[in-house]
Amino acid sequence: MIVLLAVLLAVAGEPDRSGPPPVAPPVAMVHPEPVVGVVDGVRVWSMQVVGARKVAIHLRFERGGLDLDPSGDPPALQALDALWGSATEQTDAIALAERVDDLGADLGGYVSARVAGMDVSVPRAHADEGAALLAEVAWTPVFPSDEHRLNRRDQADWYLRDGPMSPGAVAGSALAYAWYPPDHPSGRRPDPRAWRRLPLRDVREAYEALITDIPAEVFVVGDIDRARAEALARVALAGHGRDGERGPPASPVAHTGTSIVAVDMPGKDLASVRMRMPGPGRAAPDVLAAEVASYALTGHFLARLNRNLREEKGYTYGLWGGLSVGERSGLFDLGVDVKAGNVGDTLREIDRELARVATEGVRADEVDLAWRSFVGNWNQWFLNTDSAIGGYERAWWRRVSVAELRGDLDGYRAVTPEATRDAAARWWGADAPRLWVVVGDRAVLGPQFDALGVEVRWITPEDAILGAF
Amino acid sequence: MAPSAVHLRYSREMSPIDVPAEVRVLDDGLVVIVVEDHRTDRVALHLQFGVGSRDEQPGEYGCAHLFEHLMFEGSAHVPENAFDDWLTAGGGDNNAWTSEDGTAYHMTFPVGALDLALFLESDRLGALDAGLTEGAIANQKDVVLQEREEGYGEPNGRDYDALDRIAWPDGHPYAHPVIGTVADVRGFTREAVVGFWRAHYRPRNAVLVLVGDLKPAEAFDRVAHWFSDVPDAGPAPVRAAAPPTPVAVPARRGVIEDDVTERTVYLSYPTVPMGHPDEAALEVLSWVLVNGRGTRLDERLYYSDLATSDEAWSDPRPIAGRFLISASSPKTKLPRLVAAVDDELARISRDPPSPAELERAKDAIRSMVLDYAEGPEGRAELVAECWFRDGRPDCVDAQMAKIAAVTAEDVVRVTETWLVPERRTALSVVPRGDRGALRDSATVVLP
Repeated sequence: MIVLLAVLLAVAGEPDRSGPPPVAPPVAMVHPEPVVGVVDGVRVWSMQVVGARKVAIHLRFERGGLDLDPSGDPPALQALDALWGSATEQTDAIALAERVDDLGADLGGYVSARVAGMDVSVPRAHADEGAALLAEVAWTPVFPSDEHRLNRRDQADWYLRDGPMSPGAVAGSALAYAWYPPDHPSGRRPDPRAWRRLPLRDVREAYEALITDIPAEVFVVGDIDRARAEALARVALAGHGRDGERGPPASPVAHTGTSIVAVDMPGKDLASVRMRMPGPGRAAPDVLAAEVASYALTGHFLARLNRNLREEKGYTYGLWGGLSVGERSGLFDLGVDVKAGNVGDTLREIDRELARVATEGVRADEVDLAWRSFVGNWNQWFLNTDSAIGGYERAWWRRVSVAELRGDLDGYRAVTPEATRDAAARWWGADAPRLWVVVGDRAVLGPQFDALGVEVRWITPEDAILGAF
Repeated sequence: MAPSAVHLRYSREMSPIDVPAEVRVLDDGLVVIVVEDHRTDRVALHLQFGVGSRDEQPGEYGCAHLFEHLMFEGSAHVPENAFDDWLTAGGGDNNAWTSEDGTAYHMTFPVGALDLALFLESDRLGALDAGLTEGAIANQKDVVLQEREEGYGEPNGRDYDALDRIAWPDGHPYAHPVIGTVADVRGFTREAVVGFWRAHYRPRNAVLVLVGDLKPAEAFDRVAHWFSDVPDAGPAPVRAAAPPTPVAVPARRGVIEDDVTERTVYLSYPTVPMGHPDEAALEVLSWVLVNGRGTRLDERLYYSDLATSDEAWSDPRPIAGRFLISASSPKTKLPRLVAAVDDELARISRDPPSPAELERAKDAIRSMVLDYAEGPEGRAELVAECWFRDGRPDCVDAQMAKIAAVTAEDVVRVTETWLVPERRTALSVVPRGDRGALRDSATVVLP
């Protein structure tokens, strides 16, 4: 009957609203492999993006804070992250800012745990000037004392004054420091006093250590051919850099057991809830199944946890999080803000949804939904210059070809509901380590924790921000 | 010695909308605009309605924004929660936004899901009411109130709604918050919500933009097909006319106390609506004042350690505009911050922007527009905004030409004309119990 109606409507030229129009399964686009050449001994990845109006040049150093100081991210490297790109030996801070704007450029350097870099993106007509700008800033930087003073002020203000006032910041810091002990490379506690007296020479020394004998690579993406890209890379390298491999990845997570850390912020109507559990690293055999299970839990508007806490209960504007996969280990994080009186029920519902996935797995249609979404994301690789260079850097970071990255999409499609169940049971089952952080009014939260029968460690917002617990 | 500046010339190559946009108007009045972009298999769909919080009457504050939620709750042929499920299964994603002047629904999807996307959009435009349940409305009212609480719960989260409350005259369409008031949101009935939808969600009050892997002729054909059974509901209600320029705002002073550690002052100067001849010069002025090292207000406030942050921006809207300046500090008293702002504004007259300052500001504006338009989603939104602004899809080039034509004399003139201390509204935001607000400031209560 429905088929007959559809035929009649089609004949009449009217829309057939008897159901959603069929959509053919998405086809994962075949993105070209980058051209990898060598310029002055350094690998250069270049890729032409037809129609892109901007050219992006990224200089990547295969070292980061943890390579230079395995005990954690010291203030000097954080300061370098903030100050690199402020001025050069040739150009003072004001003139450099003017030059960046005049070129229509985006310019920035950064130092993260495992990698550092300096990036520039400019309109194609100014690619040469952009490459020269990048070289100047990367190889002859100056760290102005004025900027250093202001940065020290801002950092100290954040740790001592502003951070403890923000429930979101308090929750994030409490989660990080409760997960990583102080002797873990990712758990180094901030020291505002060290920030206040950080000498500028320490920043300079950190920079010198970073760029000395470093393995470097260059990415050039835009509507330009290989020869042009490599010429730009040569300008950007300016005779610096050398080839090489990055060091070993950081050690896996250290947190064990299940615990709840609560931060008392009296008078707050809302509570910020965060949760962290371990997840698989990239090489784990069940990583693809775990990513699919994570997508079903948190990956879209109507993922299980969002459907439960937002669409059914109206507790929250939105829940966020999911599985992030590292080289050797992963993290599964959740974040949700709810009325303080709903915290107990929220914790119960999150536990219930995790247990359901760990015992039943996700349905076949949820696996299919995840695969379609992942293919959709993949196909957006060439939307613009930034997305294109981001895609190639993912391949670089994982040391795989673009074709191998694309192969993951077939892997997601082959995941079975049983595999998602097994992965969820392994990583997020009842016995898996589980850390909760709840920020809110103790007078409202306390009785709910009592009702749940859980032990809670209460700390102050100030201690949360500094990891002093 | 810095190399001589190379200025970004706004050439055709730099045009954000460098592929012709084709426009059709359907029989029911829906404006459809298609722009080809074959870089990927994706299509960006942007459906924007000429309804925002400024169209709300007392008692319905927050209703326009509530639709940003309700439009995903089901329609005649789309069950509750199916909108997102079906679109996601088709490889698409979506979101929406609401402002004082408009509401937009945007999605991206592979071109193979074009029929699905148009089915979903046409069904909720033609027959949202048939799928809207009491339960869905009640649930989304809770979600909106939670959204409001989450925003207001962070430090400085209430500042702009408090500023709007005093920076516009009482009863002005921009004076109430987009998110709405607690009492109004709680009080919405299904009847009222459906009435609002019937009044404003009409084909003649919307523009549909498609940017992506499409051929215009085929795209128009599919749009015409799916929207052919959407009834022509006639024109939308006449919107409030633009009041005289500038809006006659009493020079109020207000204060709110918050869980903050430093004081902030916001200065709001009534200026001009979109399309006014001074719009471009006010935009350039804002970039001369605040855009990092070397810009005037940043150097005077942030880099001199007088303030921990400062901002300035021009905010022209369809029926009225304003220019906003803010500064924060835990130690500098607010009157001193205001005096520094006044002095920098006065210096614009004494020491007009140099050619280098002007060019830098213009280059930064062009670069911002170029970045925004790099992907199909941004371009679709720019096209829709142009349509509501000028009734054409390609206003960006014309706007950039106006920016390029701004002179130092223009910047001086608009500063002297519009940034008049006697006409500005000032909001002080201070830590709880702090007495450092500008004097004669009255407590601002957000309903």
